[in-house]
Amino acid sequence: MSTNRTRRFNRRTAEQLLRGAAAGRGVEGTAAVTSLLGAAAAPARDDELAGQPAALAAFRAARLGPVPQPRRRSVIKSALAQSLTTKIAAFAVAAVAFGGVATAAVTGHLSPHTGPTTPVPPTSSHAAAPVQLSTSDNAERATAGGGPAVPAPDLTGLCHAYTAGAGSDHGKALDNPAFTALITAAGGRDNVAAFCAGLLPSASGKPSGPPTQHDKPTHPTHPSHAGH
Amino acid sequence: MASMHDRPGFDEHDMTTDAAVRRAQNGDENAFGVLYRAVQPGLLRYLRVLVGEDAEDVASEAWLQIARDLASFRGDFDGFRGWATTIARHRAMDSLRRRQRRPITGAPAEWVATLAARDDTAGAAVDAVATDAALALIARLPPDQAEAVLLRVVMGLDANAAARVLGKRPGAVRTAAYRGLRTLAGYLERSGVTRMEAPTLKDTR
Repeated sequence: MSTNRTRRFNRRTAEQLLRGAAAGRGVEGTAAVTSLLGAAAAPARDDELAGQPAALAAFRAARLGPVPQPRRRSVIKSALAQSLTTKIAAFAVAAVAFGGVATAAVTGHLSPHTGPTTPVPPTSSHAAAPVQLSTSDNAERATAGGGPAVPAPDLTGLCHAYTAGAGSDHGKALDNPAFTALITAAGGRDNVAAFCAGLLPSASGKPSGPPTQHDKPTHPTHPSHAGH
Repeated sequence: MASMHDRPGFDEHDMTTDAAVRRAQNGDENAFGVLYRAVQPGLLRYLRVLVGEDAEDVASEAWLQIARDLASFRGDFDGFRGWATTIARHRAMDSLRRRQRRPITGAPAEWVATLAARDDTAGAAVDAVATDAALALIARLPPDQAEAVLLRVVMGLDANAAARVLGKRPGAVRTAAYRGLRTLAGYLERSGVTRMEAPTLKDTR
């Protein structure tokens, strides 16, 4: 019968315990600690996996949304991609400049939100040459290093992730940077729940038509109708 | 990769975890599920000691970020586990800063009672209680010791990986884990648990 003197164990024994704990392998004379570590590392319980649907929803949303470009690619590939993206970006910047000017001509101000996703048809004929937008410069900034100019994320997916995190504190979950786009689209943290309720058809049993959020790039700031 | 089969939560045999990392990075949702099931149980237990009842919320936040940033991760499953743990730890620190709250402290009496009961009863419920009790006891350790023990035992990280998560030197983490085990042994000895026959752990499923 071993005496189980815990003072016996030294650094080496400790290392053995730390490595073998999950497999239930103990070290002579350390039965109590072994069983404690084994219990701490016991196999998963179902309730510990309850967050899986939310995690998978987040994965779907991230996959459909802006995927950060892998940093390292093969030289040839990245060179190819770069020349291509530069062209596309130059195109995009030109389009933005064009569209931006057109929008400005209509609304009378330059919208700070105007991103590359505002395809305002350049009907305005006197859209002048891109003002002082040095094209190449902006192209660089727009594409290099996953800058602020990212395509619109999948809001439905984000809403799924948001609502699937049920039972927990939604307000806190919104602190996660992954939801930034959702908060922006909803027009503020307080509006996210309502926004998602409208976006997800079966969310709250409201079969009423979802708001036409897809058509509006920004949240509904009512552009002061000629009131009565 | 083979060592992963010891970890709590790993129950997939049709896909190695290394392969799961690659496939998830290519958009495979099932592979992401494999990673979740392999990492989440340990992560949640680690977080419970760090942030108590907020653990589930913090874990959710961590998985959101993991899903978002997975494409930029480079490495195998061992690397992934350390990376995911680092993310979760950062979210836990944020949570603690927001709440200005200390981590939970455990009650050793529960653990002793649980150990004593293990002889008579077996089954998942008892095991669950034993896990909770073990975590509660670990939570009584000084924070650096508790974290070192949890990262090694529950997350299955080696000393180097645990050191990277904690931003410390491996030697410091080894020492903290060693001291943690000694302290735990002291708790148990004072409670008289060491006089028990060695409980069997292998039939925990």
